[in-house]
Amino acid sequence: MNPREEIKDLAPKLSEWKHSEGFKVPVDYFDNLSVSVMKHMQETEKLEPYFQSLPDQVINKIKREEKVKVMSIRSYFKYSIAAVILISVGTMMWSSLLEESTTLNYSMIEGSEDYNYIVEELSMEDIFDSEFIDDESLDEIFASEEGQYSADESSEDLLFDVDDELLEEFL
Amino acid sequence: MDKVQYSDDHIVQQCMDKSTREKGFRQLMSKYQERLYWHIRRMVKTHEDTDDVLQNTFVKVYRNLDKYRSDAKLYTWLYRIATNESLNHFRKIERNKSVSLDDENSNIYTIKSDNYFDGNQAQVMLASAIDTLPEKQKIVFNLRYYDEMPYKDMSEVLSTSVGALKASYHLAAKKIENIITNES
Repeated sequence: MNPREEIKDLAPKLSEWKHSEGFKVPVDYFDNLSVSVMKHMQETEKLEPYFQSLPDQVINKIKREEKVKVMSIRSYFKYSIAAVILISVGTMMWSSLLEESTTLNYSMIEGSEDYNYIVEELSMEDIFDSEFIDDESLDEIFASEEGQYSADESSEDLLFDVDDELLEEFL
Repeated sequence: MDKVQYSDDHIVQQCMDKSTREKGFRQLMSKYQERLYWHIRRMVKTHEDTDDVLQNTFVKVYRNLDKYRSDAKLYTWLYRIATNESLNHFRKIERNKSVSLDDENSNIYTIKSDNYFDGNQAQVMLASAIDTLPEKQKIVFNLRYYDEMPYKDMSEVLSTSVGALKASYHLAAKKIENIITNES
């Protein structure tokens, strides 16, 4: 049934009334409505994406921080291990170099003509007076296989085969 | 200058394509803004509140265009959103002011204080009579009496059977008839 005929049947008095309600709208309201709606939408969109994207932002931040932490821990371990290795290698090299240099000095002296000359030809006085032989070399000479002039031996031991008379005479 | 009225199919097609969505949405607004405005205005009464609700309605429409199904009429879908937004508006007012919607004096006072109302005594009387109706009956009455909407379409808007809507409208019309007969 047509709505106007329907209301005549249902409410005859009401059907005689005009359908106008007495409401007005501002001038040009509908002309500007689409602009207002689009503006309203942009304003709300400015706010809403923040909350929409917030969980992702937080998760990304957490991931970034975890990565930095892992990196820093890894770097710390890496550098520590590198330092330990360097120190170890350095120490080992230093020790071996020291050992090698001692051995080299000794072997140079031992194998050379100088060594034989020092041991066989020079007297004790010559050896002690020589300004060309340093203390370390002297120690090595004393520590040589004869062992009789070892630097660690006490003076008593050194003079065990010296005649007392000769010693008094020397003193 | 006369505005071009596009068919619903054309508007929907434009709105479904992301590249033409805004253009289609402007066409949709241009076609339906006045109908929706008056539908909302009859419920919320003041122009300012109507403007708020209408803008919120269109924002919701724009954001839910993907959810629109072409098996429903475009305008019933729009009316449905507008009706829901109007009801949400009432609920907000209720929460904020603790004012009963059934208190006719509060609504009549609102109408009279609205700068955009210059109705005569008869119009104020009719508005007050409509305000005595329960919320849903009021919406049914407005849709049928003012918008002259077919029951089938009202059924889509309000998710209620045609029979129930007819019964509701008949009851509402009789009540209002009694009020205006007694008061005039």
